[in-house]
Amino acid sequence: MEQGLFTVWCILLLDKEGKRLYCRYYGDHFKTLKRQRHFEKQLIDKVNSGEEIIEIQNSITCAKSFSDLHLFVTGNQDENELILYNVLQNFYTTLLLIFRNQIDKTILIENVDIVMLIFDEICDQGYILEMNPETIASRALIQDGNSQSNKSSFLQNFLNN
Amino acid sequence: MSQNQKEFQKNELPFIGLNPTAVFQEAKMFDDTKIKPKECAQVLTKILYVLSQGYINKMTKTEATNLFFGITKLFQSNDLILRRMCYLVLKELSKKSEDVIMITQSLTKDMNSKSTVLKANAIKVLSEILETNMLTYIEKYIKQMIVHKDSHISSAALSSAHHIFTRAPEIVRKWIGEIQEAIHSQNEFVQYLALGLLFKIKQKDKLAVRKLVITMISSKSIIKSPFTHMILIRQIKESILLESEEDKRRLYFDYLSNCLKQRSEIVVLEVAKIMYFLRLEKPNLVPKSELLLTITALQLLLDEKSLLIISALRVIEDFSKLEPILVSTINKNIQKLVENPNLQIATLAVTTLLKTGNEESIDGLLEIITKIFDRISESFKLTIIRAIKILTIKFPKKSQSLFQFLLRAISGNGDYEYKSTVVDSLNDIIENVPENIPRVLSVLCEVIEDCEYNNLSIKIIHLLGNLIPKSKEPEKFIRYIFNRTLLEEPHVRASAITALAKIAGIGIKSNNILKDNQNQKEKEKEKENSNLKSLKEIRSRIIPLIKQCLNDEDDEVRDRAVFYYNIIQEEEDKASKLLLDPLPVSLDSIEQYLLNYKRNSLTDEININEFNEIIIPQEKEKKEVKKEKSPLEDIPKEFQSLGIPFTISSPLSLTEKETEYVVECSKFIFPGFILFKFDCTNTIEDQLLSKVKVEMTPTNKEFSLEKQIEIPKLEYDKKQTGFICFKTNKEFPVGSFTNTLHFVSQTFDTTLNDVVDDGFEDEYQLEDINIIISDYIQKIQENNFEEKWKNLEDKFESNNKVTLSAFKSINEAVENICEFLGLAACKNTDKVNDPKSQNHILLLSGKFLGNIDILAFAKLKFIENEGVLLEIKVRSTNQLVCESIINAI
Repeated sequence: MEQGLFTVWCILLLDKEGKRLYCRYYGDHFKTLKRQRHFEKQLIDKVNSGEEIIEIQNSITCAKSFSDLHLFVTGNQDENELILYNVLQNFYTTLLLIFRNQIDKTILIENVDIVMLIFDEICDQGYILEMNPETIASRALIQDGNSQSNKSSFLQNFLNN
Repeated sequence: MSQNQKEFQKNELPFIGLNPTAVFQEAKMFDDTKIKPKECAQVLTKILYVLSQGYINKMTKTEATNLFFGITKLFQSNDLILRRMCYLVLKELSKKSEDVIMITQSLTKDMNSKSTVLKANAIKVLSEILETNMLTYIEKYIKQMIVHKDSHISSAALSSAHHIFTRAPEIVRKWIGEIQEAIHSQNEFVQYLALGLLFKIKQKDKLAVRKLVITMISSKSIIKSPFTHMILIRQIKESILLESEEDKRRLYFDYLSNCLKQRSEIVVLEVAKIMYFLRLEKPNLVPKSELLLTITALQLLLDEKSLLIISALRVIEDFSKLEPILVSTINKNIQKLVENPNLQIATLAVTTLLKTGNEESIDGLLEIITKIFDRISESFKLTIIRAIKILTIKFPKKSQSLFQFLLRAISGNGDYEYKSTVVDSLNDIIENVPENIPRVLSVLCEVIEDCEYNNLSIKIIHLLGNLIPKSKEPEKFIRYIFNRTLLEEPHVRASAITALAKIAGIGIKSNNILKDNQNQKEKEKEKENSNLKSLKEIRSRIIPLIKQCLNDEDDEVRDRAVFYYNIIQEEEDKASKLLLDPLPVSLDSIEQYLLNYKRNSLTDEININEFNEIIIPQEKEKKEVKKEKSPLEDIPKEFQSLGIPFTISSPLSLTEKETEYVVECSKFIFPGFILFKFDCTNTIEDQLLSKVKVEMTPTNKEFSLEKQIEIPKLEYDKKQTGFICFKTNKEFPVGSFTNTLHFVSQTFDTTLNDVVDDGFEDEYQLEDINIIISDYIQKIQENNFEEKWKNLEDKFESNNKVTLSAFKSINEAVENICEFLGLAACKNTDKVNDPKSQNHILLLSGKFLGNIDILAFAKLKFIENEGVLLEIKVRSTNQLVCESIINAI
């Protein structure tokens, strides 16, 4: 474990079948795509059998399922699982804030750019930067003091063209 | 509805099934003279999407570099959203693309802009892509940003500083003033990141760390969040281990107890984990009162939502292994959870209770488990079966109920791993409940009738083959086994033949144990004799059954059938011996012999008699031996001329665990020589050792130094081996050595990856090494103890009678005697069946210096308040050996 700070190994947003909606691996814990896929498959199996805290080899993962999606936050086996859970929960609350309680695969895929920014605002290469859902939401929607552009999905714009 | 929209609906969702090559083609748009921000951002999103689907692992350097140059052009646009997506892609590319340094100027400009978004994100990317020597140019900006009042900016700067620290700690050290200021930030994450960084900077200066910890914990008002507490708690874990003063430790523990009273579950869990760690590593360090507080705090979490309960139970379950009595104080609360609908909770509760419960509670618990068992997942079932397996050993009195449970489990549903564990547990337990053999037999016979896993069938048939000969009515089960030879796959058929042959073997088994042990058995024997007739019939019934298999279509099955068909018809005594006695040599010996054989000649004839003379390293866990290479391979070529050692000891630790240097020693005994092998590990990261050798000073003159091989270089955490060889003029000298580790120590800079000084000579005191009589003895089990004992009657015998007051039970004495004498127990006499028995007979055997037989016959008697009375007779072909062993006691 890194001295003092907790680090996140990966954050995964998968659909019911285990297909990636968006995910980020930090550091070198799952280097190859094959190992990543295998790990994701194991997670899906475990979460389907009702486990909320999942131990696989030297990792520990908190899982949350909602609508047709699964969200996972993984860290070192010795990591405090409640912190991982906090990351998970705040991630989810941020989604709720932005998408007004209508979260499903379709909505998130259509707004995948926002999802990417949420990932980026919560975690910088494994370090947690912020956990307050309101702060994360406003940062992900790029509400900058000096720019008034209010972000709506690119896709929406794209479709309207 | 526009055309596009319709198309999207038809194709389900956008992005799905995007072709990476097509997406990268679209990136050509970045080269257009007039940038279209929305479209470009859309392409960047697509790129990120395909990268996250796994393309990041496949992307070529050229692809990455091309994309990177495209993106540099996009910096001409000031569209914030586009820029934000650019940053995201740049971060992905920083490790893949060449020439990333090109973008530095644009990023520096962003970092100096007024926009928070630009500032915060530019620094994150910059810290990633800048070379160490370039960092000095942006240093002053980072310093300003660390203390920036906007937490978005300062947390980004601190996170970047953490990353920079891993490659250039000396630069980050210069920002210590700003970092210290950031600790007082109102934002919890800024404080957390700053404190974490401060500890990293100071980690090598133990005094400074201690001062910082004490400052932080004594001014509690500074601490803003659970995360800051968490860093402190983790730091305190280290501090407690290093702190020698009781008072100071008290201060730390006071802080930890205060944390337990916090409302934050994160903090409570963190403290609980640390307490568990400390209790595990240094049991005496943690006051009982602290443990009690921890358990009480965890107990409060048990009333919360499911995830908190699971986390708390996980630590509680850990604690229950170390402190079952303490944890049992909250058994009532845990009891409530065994019927929780969340099965992860239910299982954890059950496994905890299985560890903390007393004998009386087991029955109730088993009842509950039975109720929920069918609903829980395979992996939980396995956890429970494993816990029960431990219980079968812990509470032999409860064997009956545990046994019932296992029987139900084997008949129920489950996968191979689970059923296999159940069979193992049944196997372990059956010796404690011999009266249940008939029942277990009939259940297992049912199971193999309809078993979907061939390997499980084989396992069960093997167990049946061992158990049926012990039952009163073996004839009842023949049919079940025989059916397998008709209905199953070849390897199952083969195992069934072996089992049948074993059953045939019982008719003639003569059960002569040593005369001393015979009186109790006499009555049973009479009974057996009356059965003998019917048992003989069994043999004649089985012969035709095996005969039927002689024409089996499978080679293996046919071979076995032929083999056993012939053996069964041997003389009675011979047949039973071949069928029921274990192999006269251990499998390890055979393996070792064949390995040596392969290495040496391959031309000599294999001599079965030599199997027993092979040395098996005296490892406690034989499994490990198999995984590792043979210790013989460790002998360097300088010492090959010594031949094959008589004995090899298991490694002996000459240092305490977790000291600066870890040294382990193994003794190799050769004719006239003793070779000491030293495995050394350097556990200090910033130190390089060279010219490492152990100086050994013998306490008597029987040993003279022959040759020494030192370790030229000992890097951090890389085990290396040195050797010393002593010549002896006596046949089996005993004595001891005092030892010192000598070496040259140089400071090693991990960032430069090189030594920075010439170093100095140093030494380190090691534990003494003793050469005792058991070092010359190989543990070799003698299966024909009785016969051998008689054969040695006219050779030499010594005896002794002593009271061993240190032992509180027969069991303890048996274990220690075997260990001390270095002899192997024969005929399972090292297993004391009734732990409360007062008398026991121990049969021991071994070989001295590779060829001298040693047998020992020991009578033990337990006398309350006095200890264990040991009466031992040792016989050998060598008088001196006999006497030396007796004298050693």
